[in-house]
Amino acid sequence: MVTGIRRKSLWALVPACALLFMLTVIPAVGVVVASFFNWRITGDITSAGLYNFYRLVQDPYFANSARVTLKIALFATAFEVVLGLAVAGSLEYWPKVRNSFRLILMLPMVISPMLAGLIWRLALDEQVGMLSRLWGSLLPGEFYPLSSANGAVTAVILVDVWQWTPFIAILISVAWEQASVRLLDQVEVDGLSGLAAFRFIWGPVLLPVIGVAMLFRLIDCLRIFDVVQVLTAGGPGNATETLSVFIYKRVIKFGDFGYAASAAVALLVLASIVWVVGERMFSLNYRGR
Amino acid sequence: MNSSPNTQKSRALTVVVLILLVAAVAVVWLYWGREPGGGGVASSTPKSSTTLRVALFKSPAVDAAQKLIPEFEAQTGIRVDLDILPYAELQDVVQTEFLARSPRFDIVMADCIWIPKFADAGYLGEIDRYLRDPALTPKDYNYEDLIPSVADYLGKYPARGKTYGFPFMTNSHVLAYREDLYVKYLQPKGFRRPGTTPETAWTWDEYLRAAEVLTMPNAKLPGGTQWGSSMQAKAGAWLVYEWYSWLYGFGGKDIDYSIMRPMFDSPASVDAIRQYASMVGKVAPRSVLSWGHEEETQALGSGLAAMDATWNVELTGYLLDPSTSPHAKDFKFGLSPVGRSGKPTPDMGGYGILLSKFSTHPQDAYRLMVWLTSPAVHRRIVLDGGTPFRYSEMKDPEILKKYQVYSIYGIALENSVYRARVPQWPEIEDIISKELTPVMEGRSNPKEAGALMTKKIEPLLPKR
Repeated sequence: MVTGIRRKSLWALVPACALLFMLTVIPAVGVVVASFFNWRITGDITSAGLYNFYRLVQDPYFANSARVTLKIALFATAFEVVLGLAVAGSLEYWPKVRNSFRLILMLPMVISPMLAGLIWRLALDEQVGMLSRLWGSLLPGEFYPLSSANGAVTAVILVDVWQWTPFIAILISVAWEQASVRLLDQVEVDGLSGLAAFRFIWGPVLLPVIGVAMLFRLIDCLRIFDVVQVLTAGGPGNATETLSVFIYKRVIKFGDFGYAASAAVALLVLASIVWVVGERMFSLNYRGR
Repeated sequence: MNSSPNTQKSRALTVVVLILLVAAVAVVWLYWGREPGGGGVASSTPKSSTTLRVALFKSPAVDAAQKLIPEFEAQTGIRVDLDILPYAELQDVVQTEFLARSPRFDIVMADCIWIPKFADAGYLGEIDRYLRDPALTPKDYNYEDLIPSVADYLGKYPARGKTYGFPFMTNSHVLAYREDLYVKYLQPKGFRRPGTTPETAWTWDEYLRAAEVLTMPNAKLPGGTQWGSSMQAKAGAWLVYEWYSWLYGFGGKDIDYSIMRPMFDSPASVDAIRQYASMVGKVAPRSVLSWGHEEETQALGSGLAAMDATWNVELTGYLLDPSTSPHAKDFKFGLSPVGRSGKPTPDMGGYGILLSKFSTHPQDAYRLMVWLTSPAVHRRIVLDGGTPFRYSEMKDPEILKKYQVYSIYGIALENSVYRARVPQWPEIEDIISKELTPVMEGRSNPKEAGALMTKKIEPLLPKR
């Protein structure tokens, strides 16, 4: 009887699996296959073996894009975790405003990255932007967030932190709230408070949640595209040309599909490594406790 | 009353199947039940058997053409749907459709720098046979009235020797300056007025000196400074398009076609990099590194910048509009500065309307292309904000009365230089942009940038 129900339930999964197969597996296999061909918008498609990957290794612009992507991903994720934890911690101390504040925190997340990029482009405009005016009236020195290499990278990180810190804050806050119900007595019995309570009680409970949130953000940042495209278009020069922008240019502008596919495979491998290492790290930690 | 778990599962399964059925019906209805060519421009014309779809980008010329399309529909019974996209999206959309060999677009508006790539890939439909057919190209179309260099650059691909379309929105550089500032600050210092002939046009040296005079750190503006020059140095097509006027102005060139070698490391090209980069922070704000067309126009229109040696003529309508440009009445135009060749060397830009190879109605599409660029219709487009490409339009009293700039535009177009017309241009442009920007930021030097451009571009060029 039970087997029959399970069998029927399995049939219900077929449409979802088929859709997943069509939308993710087939294109992914297609990209991997394309990476072994010399496939340009002009000319014939010919086998290239590993040549596209050799080009990647030799290409200083690809190396730059990998560096820029990692820099943005690491800094943005680090800031988001630290700030998210701080915000979640603050919410624990003000349980009365917690729910309404969580709702407010959702706002940046529901804005499309493209729109977020536009909003920040206006705010950071070096002549008439709100932030440049504020900087000019309060602080000495010049303000070039979009037209200097370091400024542009900082601006991209800033937008990502603004948009996604709430995601981490809400995840941690909800986990913290759930844990409080179970562990508050233990904290009181042990007489722990402040940092000690966080270190021995809340920290270990929250660590897997923080880890998963961090992994999500890290992988999301590795493929960052919309915000960069709107805010800086990869510039000035190639200061903010992330791997996704690198791939986009080679597909749409250059029509160098085989080479772009090899860069996409490299990005996929990078994201997979991050995921496997991260998952193992955090799940091992969790099991150890 | 309680149903067994088995019954509940069966019900759940039924619900899932029903949802899937509804979704399938919706998909079929959306994609196959739709009237062909739905959406786009509304038309009161009776239903016609032919619907043309045109991909364009939002611009003054397209705004003007859109108003006239109902007349074409009324005359021919052909329905026209315009897909007006932002410039940044046009290439993505058109290329994706081309790649899929899709007949979605009959006509595409293409930036001059995309034409070699599209033509070489076989995405464009040849129109030479239609040009020779008097039934499709009436005598009063007067193809000879088109400025030859423009008709060539925006409608043909020389490597294949074929014609794919017509110019639609032309562009080149002229010098824009403010008469009030000239009279107040430059004339007393002995500067002559920017000329309107190659003999009287300013030199680059005069432009740079005048820009220094007009850079006023204590002007009462939001940025605190009035800058002598506006620029568009944003990474990509903006920067490279502008710098090419300097490259040729200072005697440099991009490629020596006789040996197929890039020439960015020649002393003249390196000088062009040096002079162009020297503007940033000295006579133009450092923020020009993030400026494209819009910011360049706003800077001039708002008074933040006083002049522009590489003003985009295609945007003149915006600059002379008092509602967006407080100094609209003060703007005057001269030829862009003359270089070592003794002639102005503005860089030609612009857009053509081209026939898609995959059009299912190529003759009707051609009719629309001819109609839009015909003397009578295009004159009206120019009067409403478009840019001219016919000799007759350059002499038209009504057009000249409205836009003084067109009195010199013909000279600018005839002297214009081209960016390399090779399918590899987008990659070449990307390399130039990436190596030039660090010089403007002070992170590289002109000689190193010129050498890197040459080294990286050389392998991309076809071997002779």
